[in-house]
Amino acid sequence: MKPLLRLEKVSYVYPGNNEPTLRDINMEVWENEILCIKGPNGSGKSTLLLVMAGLLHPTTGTVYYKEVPLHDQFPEARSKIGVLFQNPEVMMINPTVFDEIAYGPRQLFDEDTAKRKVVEVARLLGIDYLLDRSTISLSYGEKRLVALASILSYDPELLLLDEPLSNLQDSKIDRIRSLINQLKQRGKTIVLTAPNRCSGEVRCDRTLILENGTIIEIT
Amino acid sequence: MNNMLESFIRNLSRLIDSFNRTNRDVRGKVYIFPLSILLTLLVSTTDNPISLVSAATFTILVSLHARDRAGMIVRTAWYLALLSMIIGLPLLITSTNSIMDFGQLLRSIEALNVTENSIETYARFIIRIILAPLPVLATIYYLGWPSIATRAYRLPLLRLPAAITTIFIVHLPRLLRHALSMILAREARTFHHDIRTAWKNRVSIIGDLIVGSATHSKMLQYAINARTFNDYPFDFEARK
Repeated sequence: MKPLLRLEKVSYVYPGNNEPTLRDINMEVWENEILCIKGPNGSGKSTLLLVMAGLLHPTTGTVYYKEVPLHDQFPEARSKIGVLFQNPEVMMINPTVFDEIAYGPRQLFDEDTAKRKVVEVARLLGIDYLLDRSTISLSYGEKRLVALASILSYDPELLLLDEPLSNLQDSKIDRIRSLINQLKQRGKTIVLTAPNRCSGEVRCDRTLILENGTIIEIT
Repeated sequence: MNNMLESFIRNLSRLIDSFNRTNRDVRGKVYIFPLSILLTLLVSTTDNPISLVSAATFTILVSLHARDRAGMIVRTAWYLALLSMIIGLPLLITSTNSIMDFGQLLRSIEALNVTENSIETYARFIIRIILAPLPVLATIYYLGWPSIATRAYRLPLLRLPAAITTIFIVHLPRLLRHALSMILAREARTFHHDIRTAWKNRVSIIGDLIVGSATHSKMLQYAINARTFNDYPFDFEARK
């Protein structure tokens, strides 16, 4: 079986820093698994997700998507990878919730199909009542759900979720947790980060522990 | 915290926020947006009374149609008037006919020589500052930016400017609120309430705001890139 995503000797140093944030990372993400990346604050979890998404170019090493270097597959590969950022506010780039969720589908499908996808995803997440609202007027939890909807709407194969359950009310944690489990059943591959443990507990197939930019354990 | 400063930041943020309100009843009216841009260009580049009157008439007509948003338009005009009155003050004491060196400027300040001509220049300046952006801003209040942006996205030439404006409109109020909460957080831990300390607090947010904005915009760029599969509507790094 081939991995969906593979990182080979990946290191990343932020410009202006001397110390690498990620050091010599070798790992695979298998199709249809839920992989949880755990580690304390500052261990490099978010940076690792950005590198996996191809948003940061590794300083050394290569990221492979289906065994082809990820950067050779851009921009097409972007539609296959969905990234949920830790702060959902940075994902709000459209005036209304509808436009926000339609942002991805509008690039891939015609307007009618895009509209249909927006409504479907909004219903799935229980946020259809928000569609006409301005993205500014949303609560933090609502923003997280809208941000998640905006990536699910274009149906990516791989979902990279940066602390999807943090700073949320219990009801929203339950909704996202059950959604993650549903997405796995639909064949999606999910990588998520969590500060100490996979809170809430999403049933992770594997857990990777990161400390100071180095993988110290994979279980 | 000085209530005036707090209310200024809050109101400014609310005004920009209100661009985002959608208006369902704008079908067939979006054509007034290019007209408003034309009027704004005219008032910005000429001193012609006809262009000033046209811009004023246009704004009044839009305000009458906008009904519940007319208050916003009036408030914006008031803000523009306030700002232009402050920054235009030197016009009262300087001659606009020649370029003044620093010495001449100091002498004119010392003499406080306010003439009829300088008052007219000052008044003209204020009127132009108010009337130049008002047609566009009133139209945005009336139509709602989402209605304009959705249509602009259909035209390849306007797609990028519309997308950038959208980001500006969506994120600027956040930045303003962030600045406000930083000021409040500092003042909550300040026990000397003299003007000097208060201004020290306010000024100290500038550095944090620059660093915070840089980080925020970097993440924003990653978020845009993550969902940009072709040139629509951005093409910053999609092809790298």
